[in-house]
Amino acid sequence: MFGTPTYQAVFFLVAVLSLIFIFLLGYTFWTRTKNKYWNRYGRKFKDMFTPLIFDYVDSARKSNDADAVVKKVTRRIQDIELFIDLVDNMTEILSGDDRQKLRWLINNPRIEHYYRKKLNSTRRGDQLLACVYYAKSGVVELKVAVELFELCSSKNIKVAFGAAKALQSSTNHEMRFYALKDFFLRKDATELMIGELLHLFHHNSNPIYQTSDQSLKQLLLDKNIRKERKEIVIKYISHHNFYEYSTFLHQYLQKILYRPDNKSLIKHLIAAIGVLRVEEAALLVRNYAVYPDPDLRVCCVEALNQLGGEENLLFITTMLLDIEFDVRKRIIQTLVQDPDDGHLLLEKFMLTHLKFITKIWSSDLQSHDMFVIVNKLQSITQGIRIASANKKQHLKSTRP
Amino acid sequence: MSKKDVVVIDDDELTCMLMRRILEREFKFNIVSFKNGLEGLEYLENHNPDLVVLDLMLPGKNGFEILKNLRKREEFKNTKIILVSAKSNSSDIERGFDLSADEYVTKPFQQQEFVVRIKKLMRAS
Amino acid sequence: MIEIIEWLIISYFLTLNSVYLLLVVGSLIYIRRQMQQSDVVKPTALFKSGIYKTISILVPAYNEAENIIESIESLLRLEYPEYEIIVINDGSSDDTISRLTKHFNLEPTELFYKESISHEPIKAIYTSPEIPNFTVIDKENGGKSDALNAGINVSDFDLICSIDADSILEQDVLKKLIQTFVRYKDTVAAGGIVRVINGCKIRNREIEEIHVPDGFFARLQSVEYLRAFLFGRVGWDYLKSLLIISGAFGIFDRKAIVEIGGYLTNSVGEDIELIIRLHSHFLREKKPYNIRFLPEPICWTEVPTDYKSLRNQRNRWHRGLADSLWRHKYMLFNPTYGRLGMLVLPFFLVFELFGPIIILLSYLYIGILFMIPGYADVGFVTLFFAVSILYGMVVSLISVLAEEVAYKTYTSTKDILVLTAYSFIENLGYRQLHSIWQVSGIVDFIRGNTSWGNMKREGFKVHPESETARE
Repeated sequence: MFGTPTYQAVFFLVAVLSLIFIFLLGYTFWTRTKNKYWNRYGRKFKDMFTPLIFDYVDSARKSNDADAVVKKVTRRIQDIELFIDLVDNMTEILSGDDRQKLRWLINNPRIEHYYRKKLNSTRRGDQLLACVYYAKSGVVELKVAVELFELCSSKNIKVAFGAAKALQSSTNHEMRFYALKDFFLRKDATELMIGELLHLFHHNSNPIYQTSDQSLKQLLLDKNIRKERKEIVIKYISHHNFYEYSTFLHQYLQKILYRPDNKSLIKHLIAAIGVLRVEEAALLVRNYAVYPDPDLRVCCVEALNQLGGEENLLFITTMLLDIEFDVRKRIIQTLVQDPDDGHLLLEKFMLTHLKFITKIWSSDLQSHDMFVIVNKLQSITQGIRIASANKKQHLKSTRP
Repeated sequence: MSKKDVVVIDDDELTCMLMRRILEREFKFNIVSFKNGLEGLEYLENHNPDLVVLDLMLPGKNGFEILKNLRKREEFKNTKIILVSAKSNSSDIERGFDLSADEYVTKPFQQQEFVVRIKKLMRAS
Repeated sequence: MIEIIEWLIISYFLTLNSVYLLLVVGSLIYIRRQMQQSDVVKPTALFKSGIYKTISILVPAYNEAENIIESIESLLRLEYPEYEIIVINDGSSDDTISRLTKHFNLEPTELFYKESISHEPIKAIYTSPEIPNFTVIDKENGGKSDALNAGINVSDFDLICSIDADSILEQDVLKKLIQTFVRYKDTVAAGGIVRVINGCKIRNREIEEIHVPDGFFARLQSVEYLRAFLFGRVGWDYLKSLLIISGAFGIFDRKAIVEIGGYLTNSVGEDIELIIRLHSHFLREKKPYNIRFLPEPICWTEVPTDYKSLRNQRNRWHRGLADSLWRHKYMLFNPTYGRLGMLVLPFFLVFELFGPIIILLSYLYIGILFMIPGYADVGFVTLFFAVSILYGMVVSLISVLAEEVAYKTYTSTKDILVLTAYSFIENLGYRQLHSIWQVSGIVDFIRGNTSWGNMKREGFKVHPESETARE
C-alpha cells in the first residue's frame, strides 16, 4: 500500500525542506547585507550634508542660494529622499529665519520638478513618495492640487490617505476641507486615519478665516458620514475647546432621536456640551439623565457638573439614590470636589434621609425596599467619607 | 582664560550636532556629548563642567531626574544647566525652573536666540 | 484493520501539520498587510484628537521583592497619556510590600469602589504622594487570578492590562495596542506577541540587543514561541477565532470582565478559561464583540531553562487547557456558539488536547512494529516520519523565515542560523518529549492535581550596566 508514492512524498518533502532552508539562508544574508550597506550609505550622506546645510543656513540670503546645495544632491531617488528627510528633521529643530531658509531647500525648483514627475506617474510607490513630499513642502500650484485630488479617489487606501494629508498643506481652505470630506466618506478608512487627518486639517487652519468655523458642522450634518466618524469630530471639537460650535451642538442634540444606534453619538454630544459649558443645553441634559442606560447617566452627571450652577448641582443630588454604583460614585465625586456648595447639598441630602430612616426604623415598617435604601445610604456615606479624605489629602500635598 | 567645559545630553543626533557647531563656533568650548541619560550621568559623576545642556526626553533617565540629581550635589551648585525640549507646555517649563534649571529652550529654536541666552548665562558666572 | 490504524495516524499528522502550515503562511500575509498599514498612521495623532481609552495596568505580585521596584520603574516610563499602575501584593512572605513602601514613600489610603467580583480580603491600600497614577493593594494570599480580581474591582479605568511582575514591556506597547481597540469596535480583549528574553542584552530594563539564548532548552523554546505563539495566534486571529491570550500580557475591557465575573480562582489555566468564557458569554448573549491579537512583539518574558521547570510549566499549561475545555464542554458542537463551537473548539480538543496522546500512541505503535520481526513496513514508517517530523521541520523553518521577513528582530545573522538549526532539532526529540509532558498533564488533570509548581527564576539584577539576562 505504501509503495513508491510514499517515497515520492518523502522526496518531495525533503526537497521542499532544502529549498526553504537555502532560501532562508540566502534571504537572511542578502537582506542583512543590503541593510548594512544602506545604513552606512545613509550615515555617510548625513555626515557629508549636515555641515553643508548648516553652512548654507548661516550664509544664505535669498531663495536661489539653495541651488548651490541642491546641485550637490544627485538625481538618484535614495539621495533625494535622504536629503528631504534630513532637511525636514532640521525644520523641527530650527525656527524663524533659519527655518525659512530650510524651506527654500525643500521648495527648490529642481527638487519640486523631480517629485512632480513622481506625482504624475502611475506607480503606487512613486505616488506615495510624491504625497509625502508635498505634505512637507506645501501645495501651492493648482496643477499639483488637481493631481492630488485624483489620487484621493485612488483605490489604494495608503495613496488616498497620503494625498489627503498632502492636501492639508495647501493654503486654500476649501481644498483642504474637500479632501477631508472625501476621505471621511471612504469605506476603507480606519478611525485612526480619520483622527490624524482631522488633526492635520485643524493644525493647518488659518484662525483668521471665519469659514473654518462652518466646515466641521458640514461634516456633522452630512448624512453619508458614519456615526463613529462624527463622534471623532465631536470629541475633537471638545478636546480643543472650539466654543464657536456650542450653539450648533445644542441644536444637534435637540434634533437627534434617542435610538440604540445613536446612543454613542448622544453621549459624545453630551460630553462635549459639558466641556464647552453650553449652559442653555442643561435642560436637555437633565432630560437624558433619567434614561435607562447607566453610561448615559454617568455622562450626564459629568456634563451637569461641568455646566455648574445651583440648579444643576441640586439636580445631580436628587440622582444620588441611583440604582447603579458607578452613577452614585460619580455624583459623590463631583459634589465633594465642587469648590462651592456641593458638600452642603450632600449634607442636606444625608440629613433628610437619615431622618426618614430613623422614623421608619422606629415604626417597625421594615421591608426589603428599605434595606436596599439603607444599603445604598451606607455605601454613599462611605463614599463621601473617602472622597472627602482624599480631597483633603490632595489639598495638603499641593500646598506650597 | 581657560576653555570652558560643556556637556550636552540629547538623544537626537541632529540636535547634538547643531549644538556642537554653535558652541564650538561662538564660544570655543570643550564639548562632550551623550545620547543616553545614564551615560551622561555616569560621566558627570567624575567631571564638573561649566555648562550642561540637557534634553528632557531621554532614554535611560529623563532630564528632570538628572537635573534633580545634579542639583543635589555640592559641586554642581554653580554649574549652569540649560533644559532643551520639544515639549513646550507651561507645566514642564514651570517644573524645570522649580528644579533650578537656569534656562529652558524649546525646540524649534532660533540659533541667534540660543547664542544670546548662553552668552547671558556665561556672563553671569 | 492495521491499514485503518496506519491511515488514521498518517492523516492525523498530515492534517495537523497542514493546518499549522496554513496558519503560518496566512499569518505571514496578514502581518505584511498590517505592517504596511501601520506605517501610514502616526499614533501621536490618536492622542492629539483625544481618541484613546484609559488603561489600568495590574501587576499581581507574589514574592517578587527582587524585581518589583525595577519593574514598576520601567512601567512608569511607558508612553501613554492616561494610565495607572496597580500592584497587588498577594500576601507575599518576603519583603515585597516593605520595599515598595520605602522606595515610593507609600501612604495608606482608602478608595471607594464596588466589590463586583469577590476575592480574598484586602488588608490595606496605598498610594504615593509623589506619583499620582500608582496604587498598591496589600491583600491576603489568593493566587494570581484572585489578585487580578481585586485589581479589577479597584480600577476605575476603561481597560485593564494584566501582566506578570517580571514581564518587560516595550515602551510604546500601550500606544500600539490601543489602536486595536480603536480600529475594531467592541473589542473586549487583545493580546500581543510574547518573546523570549533569555539571552537579550538589557540595560535598565530596556532591551538593547536581541539575541538567541545560550541554553539548550531556552533555544528550543525560542523556535517554539515563534511557531506556536507568534504565528499560531496570528493565524487564529485572522480567522477571528483566537482562544489564547498569554497570561504574561493581555488587555481587556474592564466592564466586559466584570460582566462575566472576573477570573476563576480555582482553575490552573485561568488565562485560557477567561477568553473562552468571554467568547461563550458574548456569543450566547448575541452581542457583537472582538478578541484581537496584535501581530507585533510587545512583551518579553523569561522562559524556564532547566528540564524540571520546563516540564512543570508545560504540564501545568496542558492541565489548564484540559480544565478550560472541560468547563466549557457545553460549547462543543453547539451551533449557538457558531464557528467557535463547531470548528475551533473541536479542533483544539482533538489536535491540541488529545494530540499528544495520539502522537505517543503512534510512536508506541511503530515501536511495536519493529519488535515484531519482519512486520515492519518500511514504506509506512518512512511516510510516518516524513509526515510527522519532516513536515514539522518545514513548518518550524517557515516560522523562522517568517520572523526574518516580517520583523527582523534578531540582531545578528548568527541568531537566525542558530534558530534554523534548532528548528530541525526541535522536531527530533523535543516535541516528542513535550508530548510526554502534556500527556502527564492530562493524567494529572484527571487525577485532580491543581498545583502551580515552582519555576526556578533567577530574576534580573538591579545593575545600571547592561548585562545578559541570566540563564
